Amino acid sequence: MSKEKKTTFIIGLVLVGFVLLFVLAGFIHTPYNPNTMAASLKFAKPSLSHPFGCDNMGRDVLSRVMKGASTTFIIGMSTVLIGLVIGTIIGSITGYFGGIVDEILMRLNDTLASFPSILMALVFVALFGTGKYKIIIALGVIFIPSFARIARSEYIVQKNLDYVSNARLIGASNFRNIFVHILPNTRKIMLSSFTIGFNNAVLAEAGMSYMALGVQPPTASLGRMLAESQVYLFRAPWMALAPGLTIVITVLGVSLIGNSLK
Amino acid sequence: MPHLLELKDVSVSFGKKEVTHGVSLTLDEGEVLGIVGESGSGKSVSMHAVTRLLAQGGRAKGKVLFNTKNGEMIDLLSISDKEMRVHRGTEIGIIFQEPMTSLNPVLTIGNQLSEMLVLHTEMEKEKIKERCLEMLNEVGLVKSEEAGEELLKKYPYQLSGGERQRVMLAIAMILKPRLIIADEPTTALDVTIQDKILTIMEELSKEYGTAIIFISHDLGVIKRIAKRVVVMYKGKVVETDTIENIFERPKQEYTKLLLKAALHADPLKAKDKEKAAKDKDKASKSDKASKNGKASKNDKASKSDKAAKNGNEVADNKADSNVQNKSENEQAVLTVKDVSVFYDKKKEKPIVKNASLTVKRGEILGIVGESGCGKSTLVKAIVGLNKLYDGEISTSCRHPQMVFQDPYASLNPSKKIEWLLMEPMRLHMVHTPKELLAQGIHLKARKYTREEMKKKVNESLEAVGLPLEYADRYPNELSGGERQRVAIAMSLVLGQELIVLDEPVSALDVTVEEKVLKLLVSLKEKYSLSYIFISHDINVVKRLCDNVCVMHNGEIVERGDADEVVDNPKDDYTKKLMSAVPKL
Repeated sequence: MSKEKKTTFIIGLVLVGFVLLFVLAGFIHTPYNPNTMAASLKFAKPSLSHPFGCDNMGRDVLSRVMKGASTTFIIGMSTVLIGLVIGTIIGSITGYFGGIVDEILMRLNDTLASFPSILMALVFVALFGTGKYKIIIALGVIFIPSFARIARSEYIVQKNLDYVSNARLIGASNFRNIFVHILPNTRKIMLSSFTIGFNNAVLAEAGMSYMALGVQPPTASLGRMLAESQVYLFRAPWMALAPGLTIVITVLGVSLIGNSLK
Repeated sequence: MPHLLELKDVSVSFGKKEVTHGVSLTLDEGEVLGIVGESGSGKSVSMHAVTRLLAQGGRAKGKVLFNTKNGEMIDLLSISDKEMRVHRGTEIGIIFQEPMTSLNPVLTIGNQLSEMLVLHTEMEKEKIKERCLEMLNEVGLVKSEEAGEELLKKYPYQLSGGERQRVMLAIAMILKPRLIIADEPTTALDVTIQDKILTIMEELSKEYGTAIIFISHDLGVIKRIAKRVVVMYKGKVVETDTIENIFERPKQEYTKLLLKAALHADPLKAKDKEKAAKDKDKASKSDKASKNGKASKNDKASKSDKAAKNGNEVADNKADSNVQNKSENEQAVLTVKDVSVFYDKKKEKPIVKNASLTVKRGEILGIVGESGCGKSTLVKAIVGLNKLYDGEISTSCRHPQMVFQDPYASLNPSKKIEWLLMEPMRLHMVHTPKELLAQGIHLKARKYTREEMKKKVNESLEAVGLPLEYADRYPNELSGGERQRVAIAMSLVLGQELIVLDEPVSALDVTVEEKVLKLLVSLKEKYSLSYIFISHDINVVKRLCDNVCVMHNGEIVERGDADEVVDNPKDDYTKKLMSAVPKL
C-alpha cells in the first residue's frame, strides 16, 4: 500500500475506533442511564460531569449518544449484511449463468431498485409497524439490488477467465466454481461496497428515525435525537452536535477505510 | 559525420529503483538499429526516456544527443517540454506495440492523421487532405482516391490490427521525421501481416532516409530488418554489433544463450535427436580423419567398425520404431470426425467447419493458423468446454486436460499452489488401478486421503522442476514461466493421457520457453502422454510436433508430418503462411 493510502487507512481506523468505543459503552455500561430524566438538569450545559450536557428532559446526552450509536451500529451492520449476503448470492448466480435466469432475476432486481427507498420504508412500516428488527428487514431488502448488481458485474468478468475454465475441466461443478473458486476473487470489490453500504445504512437508519419511522422513543437513536434537538438548536446546540458529529465521524471513518483499500 | 542519435550513459529510475543502468548506443542517419532483449531488459524504457514519455515517477539521467534537421546537436533530456513537443512529430516518430489501443477510438482516421500536420505546419486544409491521402497510399492501405477518402472517415474500431498499425506508421511518417522509434510494432500481429508491415517499413526507410530503432524480442524479425543490433539484459547493454557478427560470432554469454534459444538449436523430437547424434558422430569422425594422416589406417578400421555399429544401431532404431509405430497406430487417443463447432445454440453459424484429425498415443499434434481461424474453438470442443458441435469426437481419455496461454490468468489468484494442485483430487475418486482390473479385482471407488494428496502435490512439483516450498505460495509470487509449470503440473495430477496446450509458451520469454518445451517433452516420455499443441510460432511447432494441422477460416487446409508441411507445403494458404515466417 502506498504511503498516502496507509495514512488514510490509519486516520479512518482511528475515527471508527473512537466511535466503536461509544458503541461498546452503549452495550456494556453508559455513565448514566440514558432514559433517566431529571428536571433539575434540563438543558444543562456541557460540564465535567456531563461532557455533552443534558437534553430537554434532563437526560445525559453522552449516554444517549452512546446508546444511540450502539443501536445505529447494530441496525447498520445487520442491514448491510442482509443486503451483502443475499445480494451476492443472487448476483453471483445471475452473473455466472446468464441467460434466462439472469434476465428474470435482474428484472426483479430493477423493480426493487426503482422504488424510492423512503417510499419502500414507508410501505414496510405501514404494513408491519415500526421497531428495531422491522427496520433491519426493511432496509436490508432495499439494499439487496445494489449488491446484486455489483456482484453480478464482477462475476461476468471473472467467469470468462482461464482459471474458471480450468476449474471446470478439472471437474468442478458450477456451484463449486461460483462459491469456492470465484468468490474469493471478488473480495476487494465486495469489501469496498460493504463500506459504502454500511455508510448508507447508517444514514438510512438515521433518516428513518428522524421521521419517527424507526426506533421509537424512549429508545435512544441518533436520528431521533437529531429530530428532537432541532427545535432547541439555538438554545442548547450540544443536543444536536453530539449525535450529528457521531454520525459524521462514523461515515467519514468508514469511507476513509473503504477508500484506502481500493 | 556526427551521429543522428547518441545515448550517453542513460540511466532510468522509478523512485529509488534504477531500472536501466548506463545505456549507451549510437544511431546514424538512415540506419536501422535493432534493440533486442527479453521482458524487463529495459529496451522500451530506454526509448521512453529518449522521447520523454516515461511513466509517472520515472527519471532519466545521462545525455541523449540528437542531430536536428537544422544541424544542431541538442540534448533531448535537458530541453523544455514545449521544445520536446516540437521535436516529437517533426523529428522523431513513434509507433507503439498495441494496435488496438494506440489510436484514439473516438476520432476518425482522417482527424488523427491530419492532427500532425495541423499541429506542426501551417498547411491549408486541402493540402493537408492531399498529404494524408498520399500517406495512406504509401503505407499500402488504399490504392485509389475514393478508397482513401472513405478510409479517412472511418473510426479505428472499423479497422483490423494490421490496418491500425499501418495508420500509426502513416501518422509517424507524415512529417518525414529523421527517426522512427518502433516499439514491438508487429508483436501482436499475425505473421503474414507482420511481413507486409516490415516490407513497408523497409521501403519507407529507404525512400525517405529515415533511421529506425526497432525494438523486438523476436530475433527473426530483427535479423530481417536491422543492420546493427543492441542486445539488452536486465537494464544493461550486453553487446552491440552488426547483425552478421551477433549471429555468427556472438561474444557475450547472454547473447550466446539468447541465440541458442532463438535458433532452436536443441532437438526435441526423437527423430531429430537421432539425426543430431548421427551428425555429431560424422563431425567427430571427419575431425579425426583430418587430424591423423598416418595412424589413419588403424583409425579407419576402427572407424569403419564404429560406422558399421552405428549403422546397425540406426537401422535397429528404425526397425524398433516401425514396430512401435504399428502398435501406436492401433491406439488412437483421440478421433475427430467431420466436426463443426458453434457458439450459437441454434448451430447455424459454424466457427469450425468439418474438421477431422486423429491423435495417436505418444504423438504431439500441432495446430497452427492465424488469429480467428478457429484453433481454440476446436480444442475447446475436444476437451468438453464447448458442447455445441456436430460430428463425432471420441477419445479414450475421460477428462482431457488443458494448459492455457496466459499464465497470469490461468491460476486462481486467491488460492495457494498447494490448494490448486489438490483440487483435482478433491473432485475425483480413486479408481481401481489397471493392473488389478486386469486380474479381475474391483475395488470400491474412494476419496483421496490427505496423505495421498500431499504426496501427489510434492510429486507434481518435483516433476515440473519447481521447489517444494512453492506449495505454500500464491500465484502472484511466481513468474510467468513458473506459473506455466504449475499449470502443467495441474494438468498431470489426474493422470490423463491427452493434454491440450493452447499457446502455452507464447507469453514467455525465449529462454524460459526453451525450458518449458524441454519439460513438456520429458513429461511426455515419462508418463506416455499425447499432446495437442496450438501455436502461431511455426518454428516451435516444427521443432516440437510430430504432425501438424494447418487451419484457415475454420477449416483444416493441410495436415501431415510437421517437417513436411513446413518445408514443402502443398496448400496455397499454407505456402503463404510458411513463406511469411521470418527465417533465422
